[in-house]
Amino acid sequence: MPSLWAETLAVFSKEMRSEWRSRQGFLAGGLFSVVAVVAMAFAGINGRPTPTLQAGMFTVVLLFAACITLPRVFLVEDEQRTIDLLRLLARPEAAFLGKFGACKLQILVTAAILASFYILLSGASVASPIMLIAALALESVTLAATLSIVGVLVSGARNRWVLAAAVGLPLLLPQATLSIGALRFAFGEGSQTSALQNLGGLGLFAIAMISFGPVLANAMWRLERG
Amino acid sequence: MLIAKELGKRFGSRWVFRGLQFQVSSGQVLGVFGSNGSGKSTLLRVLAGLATANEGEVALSGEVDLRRSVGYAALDLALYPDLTAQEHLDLAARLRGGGTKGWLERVGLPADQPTREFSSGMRARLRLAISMQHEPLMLLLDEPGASLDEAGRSLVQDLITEQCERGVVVLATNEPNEKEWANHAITLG
Repeated sequence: MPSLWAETLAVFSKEMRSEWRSRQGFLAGGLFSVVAVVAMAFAGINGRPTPTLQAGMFTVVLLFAACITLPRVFLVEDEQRTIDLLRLLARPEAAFLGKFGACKLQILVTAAILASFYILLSGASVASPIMLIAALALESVTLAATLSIVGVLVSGARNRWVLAAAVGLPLLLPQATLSIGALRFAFGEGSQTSALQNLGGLGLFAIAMISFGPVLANAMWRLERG
Repeated sequence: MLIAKELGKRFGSRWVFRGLQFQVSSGQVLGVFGSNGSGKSTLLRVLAGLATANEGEVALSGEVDLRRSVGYAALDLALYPDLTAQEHLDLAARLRGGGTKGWLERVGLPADQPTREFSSGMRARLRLAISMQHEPLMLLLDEPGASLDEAGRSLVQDLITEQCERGVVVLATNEPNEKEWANHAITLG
């Protein structure tokens, strides 16, 4: 039997291949990100927003881009009814980890494009580029893990989009707060100690979500789906 | 050998089937017959592990991992529209083992065409290939001849014969021609 790692890689490859051919997630999330970044840069023409506001806008845009892009990775299996095939072929842990990997890559690319565009368009000064990169990278991983968990939880449910919002909100709020805390230092406000604490919080959040996800996926797949 | 004891499945308060008992030995083909809504497809989903029974139990001797032991082909089993037939088989092999060589030629499908461009008959052929590529102990076929032409139905018959040398076949159908493939039968409803 293939190892968990080999299965995870197989699911990841399948996700990336499907995304590459349809580009649905990337187009939806990318278009939103570009529009949002242009709007953010335009908003700063007559006076640059404060670092905290910039951090807030960044976090919100990344969050919404992820919310548009990532649920497709799980919920699309339900919508196109391929979830049965996946359940017949893959162990749930591998399905979760493979899909999480695909989510992570997509949101990382989105975050990189978002940051580059914003800095280029608005001419915003970045006080700590390392903190900006670290915060965006960790936020992307945490977002991908959280939205993958939301996907596992609501997959198969009747009102899955409503349920996704209800389940996602309490999980996304704390990480948005932590992300703003780290990003505002990157844009030149707040202390390094506080930023590092927020970064640590994001890291712990990501570890918790990634550890919990495969266990949850296993439990959910055992439940009745009709 | 496949053994089902006192198997029962309900949706809400309505029992689809209850107290179902059967035993299928290696080399046998169990036909599951019954009118629409009698629970044929549901029974196959339970046997495949895609749905859970509310009562009773199913045992497949020699089973270690259900994914490895069961091959399942049903009309409502959707395929990935952006992947080709070869990619489906590769994915199946990478996830649960088994080979892919020769299967496309055998079921008569192109390697590089995405399944969104497939006819329903071509999709049915691919489902058959996926259900057999890992050489399962138990093959579950739900209306296997539906949407297949004469050559396709002949292919199903060949696959059933091949599977009988390795394990068991459970076949849900209402087609008189397909009923003849079974050498044991239960009728639901």
